[in-house]
Amino acid sequence: MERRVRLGLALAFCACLGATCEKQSDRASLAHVHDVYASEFAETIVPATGASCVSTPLPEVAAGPPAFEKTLAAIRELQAKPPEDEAVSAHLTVLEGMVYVQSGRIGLAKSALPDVQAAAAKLQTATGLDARDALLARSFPYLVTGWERVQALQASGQCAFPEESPADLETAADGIRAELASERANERLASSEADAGALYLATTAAIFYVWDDKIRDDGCMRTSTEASRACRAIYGTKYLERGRDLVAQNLPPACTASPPASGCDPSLARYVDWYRFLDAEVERHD
Amino acid sequence: MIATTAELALVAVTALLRYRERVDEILALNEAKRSLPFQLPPAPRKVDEHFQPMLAYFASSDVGRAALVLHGLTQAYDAVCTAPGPPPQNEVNRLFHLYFELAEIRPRLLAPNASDEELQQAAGTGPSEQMRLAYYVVESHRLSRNPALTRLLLAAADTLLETLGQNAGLFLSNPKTRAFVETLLDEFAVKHDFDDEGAERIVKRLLGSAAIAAFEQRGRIPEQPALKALAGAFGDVYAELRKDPAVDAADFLVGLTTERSFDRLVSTFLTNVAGDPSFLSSELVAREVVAATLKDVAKNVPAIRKDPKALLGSLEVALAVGADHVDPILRRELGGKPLATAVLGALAAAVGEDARANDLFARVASGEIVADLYAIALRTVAANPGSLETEAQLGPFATGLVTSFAGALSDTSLRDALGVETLRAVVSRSLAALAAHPELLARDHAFAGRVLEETLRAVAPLVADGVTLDDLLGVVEEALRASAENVDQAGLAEPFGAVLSALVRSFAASGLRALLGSEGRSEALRGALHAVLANPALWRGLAHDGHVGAVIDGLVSASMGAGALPLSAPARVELLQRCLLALAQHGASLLDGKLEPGDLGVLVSKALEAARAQLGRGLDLDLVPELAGAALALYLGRPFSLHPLEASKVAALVELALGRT
Repeated sequence: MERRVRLGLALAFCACLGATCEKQSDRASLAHVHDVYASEFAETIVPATGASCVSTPLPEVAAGPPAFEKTLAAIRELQAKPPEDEAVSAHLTVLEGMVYVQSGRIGLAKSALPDVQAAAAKLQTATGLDARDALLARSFPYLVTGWERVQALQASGQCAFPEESPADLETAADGIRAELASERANERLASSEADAGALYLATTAAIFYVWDDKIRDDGCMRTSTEASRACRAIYGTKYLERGRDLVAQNLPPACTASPPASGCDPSLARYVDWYRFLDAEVERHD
Repeated sequence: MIATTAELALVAVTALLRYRERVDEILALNEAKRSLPFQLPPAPRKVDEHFQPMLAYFASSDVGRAALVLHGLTQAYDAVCTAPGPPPQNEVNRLFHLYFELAEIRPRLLAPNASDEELQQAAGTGPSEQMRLAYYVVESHRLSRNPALTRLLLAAADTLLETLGQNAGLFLSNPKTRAFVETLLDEFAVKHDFDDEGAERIVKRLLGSAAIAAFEQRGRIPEQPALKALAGAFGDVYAELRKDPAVDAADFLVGLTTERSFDRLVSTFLTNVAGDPSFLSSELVAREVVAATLKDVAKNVPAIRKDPKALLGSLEVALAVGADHVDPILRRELGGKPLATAVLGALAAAVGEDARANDLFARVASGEIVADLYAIALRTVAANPGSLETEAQLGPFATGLVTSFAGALSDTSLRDALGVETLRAVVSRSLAALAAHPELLARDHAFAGRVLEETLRAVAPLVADGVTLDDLLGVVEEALRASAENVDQAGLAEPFGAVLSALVRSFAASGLRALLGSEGRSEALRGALHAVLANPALWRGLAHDGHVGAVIDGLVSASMGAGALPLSAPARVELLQRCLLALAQHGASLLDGKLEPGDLGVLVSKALEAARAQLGRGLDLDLVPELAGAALALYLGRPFSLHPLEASKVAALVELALGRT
């Protein structure tokens, strides 16, 4: 690598002698952003333990710079000299929004919301299909709503929510579901093996439904078993089924077969896991 | 058709380079569709199913009731139990916390079994960031939907621009390097139509290394570079290994290409090897050898698969030796494999076996050392095609060769004296010295190990005493070269060891470090080696009688004292060398028992004292070493008693010696 660096520097110097020095290529700068993001993602994956209900307390948040700080710095640096293609800028906008959502900076996510939504129009592909970034941009308001609520519930330190209303979670999940339905109806979704954006959103919505179902279950806690059952009978497994079906709708048939078919792409493992879990939960309730 | 497609592809890459600003845009768009990891929202825990068991626990269990009182939750419990509808949130949560802790219950996470805790643990231990994050990755506009050729065209243009900048076009306009790109595209996009990121990564690395090598070697590239063989071999290997679920083909090949020594291998293909006309006609054979070796190592030789330096070094060796010996190496097969592949397999097995038994050897025998051993093995096989042509012959040969070197490193005190890195350098240089004598290795492959062992043991203490590594290596190389060139090689190891050990001990005892310096001491050691070579039987005899130490001590003391003559350090070293040589030529009387070994030093000292009187009478300081050697030779030819010492006899001896100088 040392030789490469030396050679690169020599060539860059030669190029600078002949003309004005060019800025680093957009591809290289964007690749750098992605590398930094992947690296910070690996460092900051937060276990979703729901730890408020267990005897071991939540691990304290480590002191230090906020999550994805280097990624955000790299995005800003690249945006300062905007890439030639506006689709690349739009991609960065969406990535920035997703960084805010995943790292719990909901205030920043909300302030980025108009830009992220506007980015969707610039993320058209040559095939006419909507790819991951466009799908994330279109569903971004629902993502913000859902993540905000989930993070607030987690941060409360409570494990049961008998007095909470799951309305906003349902709204968020339903919003994503409607977006995906519209995309599907307009035949703008690629296959899941080619683009997992829809599947990621479907699974996210399914998790919002899981929270919805949990809050409703907590609201049905009664001293009498019969009273609890009667309360739960009103909604049953409706939300879990919605989540399961939404994930299934976006999975290739090979992945929903039982037992799983060999043709199921291993890159979809996370979503297949969620589908099977939701299916088992519905069965358990039945 | 294939050629046409590849040619068109080249035209396309050339066009892409011409409009490089647009290429960047296209590539940036492509990069924007890269697979990226995204987290899913955290999942909740299921607690409602514990509600009634919790109430029952606090109602019926003594521990539960006591705990309620102890934690001041009696009222909360009552409030929850008497709530007509949903229980109050804060109270129920306080009770849940207490209950879960007392009953040691962990409510289940409403998420798949592959929990994030497990995944996080896996993420910390996965083999690469890419694999660690695979579970979290959200694909976008996956490249599998793009034709392989288009992807590789872009990858090729990107790599050339990234590596060569404005000179990228030259790489394609030069027919010598253009053929390589053509072969790459042909192998990876036309012939096999690889449809994955692994192929793209391999192509980018191969092309990047070739671009660097071409830039650095410009002006030295032959008309028909052999680089095509490398591209073809990588294509063949990737095609086959992709079918094997036990091997991560892309990781294996990309891992190889990211090694620094890979650039050197590419450079070898681009220049040295390709310059050999017999090799050029055997390009396809070379491709098969490289491909077979890579496949064999990936599937069957884990020790080398995990050691890319050893593998790349070995490939370089196979090509270099193969180019020199096309028929005996490249074209031959053994056990259904190319001979070069079979030799590497046999060698790796032998190295693995010895490494298991010898910790020091295990630490030394990696990377370049394996390649050095392989070079010796291949050259030996090439020099002795008749005697090493079956598997039955090859196995013992490889084992013997490796074991002899492992044996040289069996003395663990060497590690303390020299350190692993120094030992590695010593072994590497020793192997290089031996590679020039393959015919002798085939005859007795164990002798090299013996010489190395004796020499290292003798001279290792000098390193702690300030002798530089280069000087030490010089002595070791000299010993090995001398042994290899001597017909009596089998008998040299012992006298080498004895004489060098005695010299080293004597240097230490005499406190000559400051006087001679590192160079002087190693020069003296080399002189001793020559003296041994001049008459190995004499030194073996002296060693057998236990006289080497006394002889050497006496001569070192006399030479360094120099009879109080103002001799320079190099002159004193020369004096010692001449005395040792005189001893080799005339010292048979020592073996007869007619002389006391310690008398030689006395004689030389006295002769040097007597020589002072001759200064300006036909003698100057430059002639003193020669005079001392001549005097000792005369004395050994016609010895006389030194007890008591008669000054007149010594003076006469010196005068006689002066007449001969």
